Amino acid sequence: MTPDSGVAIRWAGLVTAAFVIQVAFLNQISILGVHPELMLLVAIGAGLVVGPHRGAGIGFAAGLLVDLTLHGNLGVSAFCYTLVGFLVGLTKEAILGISKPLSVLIVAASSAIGTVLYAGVSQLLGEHTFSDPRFLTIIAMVALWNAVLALPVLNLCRRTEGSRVTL
Amino acid sequence: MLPGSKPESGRRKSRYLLLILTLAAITIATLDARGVGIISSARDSSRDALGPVGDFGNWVSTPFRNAWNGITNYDDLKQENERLQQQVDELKTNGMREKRAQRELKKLREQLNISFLADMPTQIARVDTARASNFDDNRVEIDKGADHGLAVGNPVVTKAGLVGRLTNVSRTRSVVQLISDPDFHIGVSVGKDQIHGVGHGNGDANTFIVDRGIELGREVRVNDYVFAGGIERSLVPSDLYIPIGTVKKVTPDAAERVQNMQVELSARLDRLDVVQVLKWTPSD
Repeated sequence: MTPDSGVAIRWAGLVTAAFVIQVAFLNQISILGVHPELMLLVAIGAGLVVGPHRGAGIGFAAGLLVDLTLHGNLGVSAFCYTLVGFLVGLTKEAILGISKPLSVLIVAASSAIGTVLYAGVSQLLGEHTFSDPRFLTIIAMVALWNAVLALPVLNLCRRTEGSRVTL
Repeated sequence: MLPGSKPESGRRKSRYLLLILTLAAITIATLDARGVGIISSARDSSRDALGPVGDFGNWVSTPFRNAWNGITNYDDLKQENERLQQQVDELKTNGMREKRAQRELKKLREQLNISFLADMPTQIARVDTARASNFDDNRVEIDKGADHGLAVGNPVVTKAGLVGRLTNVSRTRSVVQLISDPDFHIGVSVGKDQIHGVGHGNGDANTFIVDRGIELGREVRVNDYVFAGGIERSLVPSDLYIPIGTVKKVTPDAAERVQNMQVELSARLDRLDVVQVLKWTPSD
């Protein structure tokens, strides 16, 4: 087994585990009717820990799995998470030496952006996401949830990627 | 190799990957929107496979969720507690297990004694309370599917009235489009004169709008009942009168020469637990 295939297997394991945790547990708990978006957080973590290449790839896989559980169009989360993972990866490349507080801020901001992007694309495809009276609450709470979970998940992403990461 | 060429090739590779993945996502979304069989089959299979995972999580997390909801939804719980207080005497039993069984039985009996269903064959189903999306998509999942004789288009009711209709049916699960969905349009009969009109959801769990077909001058009053049914080629059987709600506000629209009605829904869509699916499919 090559080092690259080992990393790929570890990432597949992390994404699958996150998916099971999301479906079995996180979807059941909420504050103000909003639950954490762990799969979005894993996509952000991949981008922030490794870079745009990994962020986009993990974002696509995580988003596609999320789409399977939603009632809207398949592919919307995959599209949004891919873009968010990629953009976070570019941010990582642009900023040298990201501190822990800054990484939490980036996670919160990119979670909010990812949620707005998802709402926007869903609205374009005929859903009524923008008219949801809880729209701002959802964005704020997803950002807050993911910020709270950021450090342990980023740590897991770092371990999954192995010794090559620089964050 | 020139200095700096590796980062540049890495960036190009990343952009290329981004392009491929976004195109793949857009292609999947397009195929899904066009109803391509393989995409909907994949989704149905995953829904069947993930159903037990969600149910397991629901079972494991119930005590924690109850405690959590006690903290975060105290006001709602207080109201709910007052409502349930009247029922407590009926549910007194010796053990917790028996207590739970009686609660379940009561819910099921309520569903079995729905007066407006006549002899219509039905299937009782439990609503999955976990929501996959944070945005309210006006849809819920139930734990019965094609294996139980359900089909796309079947109306879904509670003892209070119409809840929605099935829009997606896999082997063991189904998706219900709730009556609150702005895209849910249905013919209705209003008041004692059974004036026919067309209504749709309003995006919130309590309100339904009737804004087509009831001309100015027709007698409609606040507190008049609104029913689905009594109309040929409707989403529900024409010989059943399924309650939708009661008229709360009537507003004349002089430009369109119709009356717009705000209807308070009978069914509590925000507290769905057990529902009944009518094994009846509307004609196209």
